[in-house]
Amino acid sequence: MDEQVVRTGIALVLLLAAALGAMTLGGLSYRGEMLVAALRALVQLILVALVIAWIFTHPQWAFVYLAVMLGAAAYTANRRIGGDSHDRLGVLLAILMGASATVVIVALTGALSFSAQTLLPFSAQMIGGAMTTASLAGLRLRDDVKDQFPIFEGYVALGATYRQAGREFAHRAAEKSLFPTLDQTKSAGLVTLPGAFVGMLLGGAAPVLAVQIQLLVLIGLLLVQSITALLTTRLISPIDANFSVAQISGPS
Amino acid sequence: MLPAASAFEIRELSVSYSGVPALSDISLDIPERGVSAIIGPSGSGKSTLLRTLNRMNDLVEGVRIEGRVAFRGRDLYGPDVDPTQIRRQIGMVFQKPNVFPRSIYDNVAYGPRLHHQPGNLDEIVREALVRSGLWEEVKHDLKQHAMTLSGGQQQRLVIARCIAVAPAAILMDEPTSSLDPLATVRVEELISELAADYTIVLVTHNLRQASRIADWTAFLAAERSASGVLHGRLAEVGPTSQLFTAPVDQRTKRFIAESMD
Repeated sequence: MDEQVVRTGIALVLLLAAALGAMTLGGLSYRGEMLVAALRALVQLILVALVIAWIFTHPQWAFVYLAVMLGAAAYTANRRIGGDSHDRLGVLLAILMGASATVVIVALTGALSFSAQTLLPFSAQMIGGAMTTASLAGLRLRDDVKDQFPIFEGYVALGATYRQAGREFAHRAAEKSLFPTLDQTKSAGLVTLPGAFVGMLLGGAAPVLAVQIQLLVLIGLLLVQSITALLTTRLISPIDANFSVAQISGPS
Repeated sequence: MLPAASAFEIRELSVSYSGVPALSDISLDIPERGVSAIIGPSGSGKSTLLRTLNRMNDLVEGVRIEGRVAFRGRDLYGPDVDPTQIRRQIGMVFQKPNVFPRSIYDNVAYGPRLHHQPGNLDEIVREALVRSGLWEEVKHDLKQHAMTLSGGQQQRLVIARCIAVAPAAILMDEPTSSLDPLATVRVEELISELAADYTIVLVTHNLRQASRIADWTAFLAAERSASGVLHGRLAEVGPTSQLFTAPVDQRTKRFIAESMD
């Protein structure tokens, strides 16, 4: 076995054991969960690495990988929002539009070479960012409508559809869902070293290259999240599906 | 005695929320124009009844509506009915004034803009504010944020907003319950004025208010079902003066005696 793999394995075991030990000494619970989380990460990442390695040699399958990821992202975000199948389609579209707009610009400008090695991880990261934004924006929209239901009701009572009544709420929810990304972008390099940057430095890349890639990711995420937040809050219903289904029946 | 022309015809209406009954077997006619009041103790389903008249109950989770509710002969729950059209035609004023977080002008203009109403928008807004008795107080600053108005002014703004889309009927759910006595008087006067042109259905817990401004009054009694849940049943309906001075139903008699003390 590769010596580096063995060393990594030893380090991982020591890190996890130390973490568990620290928790035991301090009397913290959730040791089981920590162990399970670590094992899950291990298995999942090894599987992903194998799949990606395979795709790098069979790049025509990259689209299938991204499509599966897109579907999973839409499903997860929609489940967090508590949406129905119509909402899921809206969330899917919002994530797709946000991520693809960014990837197209990055690919067409040649900022990243047109290859599975670069575009696959970049697209994956954009889809991941879009998923987080879709959940945040959708949840925020529904919470705001619930919190200010009398105002929502006022719009509906004037003959507005639920979507029309939710328009103002949608606008504010989209804005608010961008705050975390804006903060993250503003503090990049000062408070934290972002993931792609650290990863590339660890992988031996020159800091100047690492910064370029990190900027593509950060600024790319701004575009992803603007589009995804705007579309999510406009495409999903502003109230729970359960709300709107009055069961009507004729005289019995 | 039955009213001459019915605006609303309610037949064998029962409403439940997630299987819990709120109203049972209501049959009632509500006449065109004038003020019809719905009174009754808490738990008698007054608001529920009101909200079935413009399909605002559609917004409540797990609501189930049986029976027939018609407005001017048209079944409000028919398969080809668009609830947004119903709500435009049958406006609603709520317990607490729910002004939109916009200017006075934009509150009133919201409905006409939404429905692309023909006519001069400034004129529509002005007329609605005049009719609601608010014009003189706000005409110098229509761009003022609606939240800066007093509670009574806000409620009259909500009424103006409702009038601006030219509805045929206006439903009012305890519209003065959050107002001080002076503001209440002004809103009551306004309701009486509007009654010449609109069918107004007023839910109120204030019997004196019903006796002051309602032409017709329906009394809903709260009954306890076998499972112990309160739900409403129509006890009596008639001209307000008759219902208050010579109630036929024992439950009405008792309720009026207790409430007017």
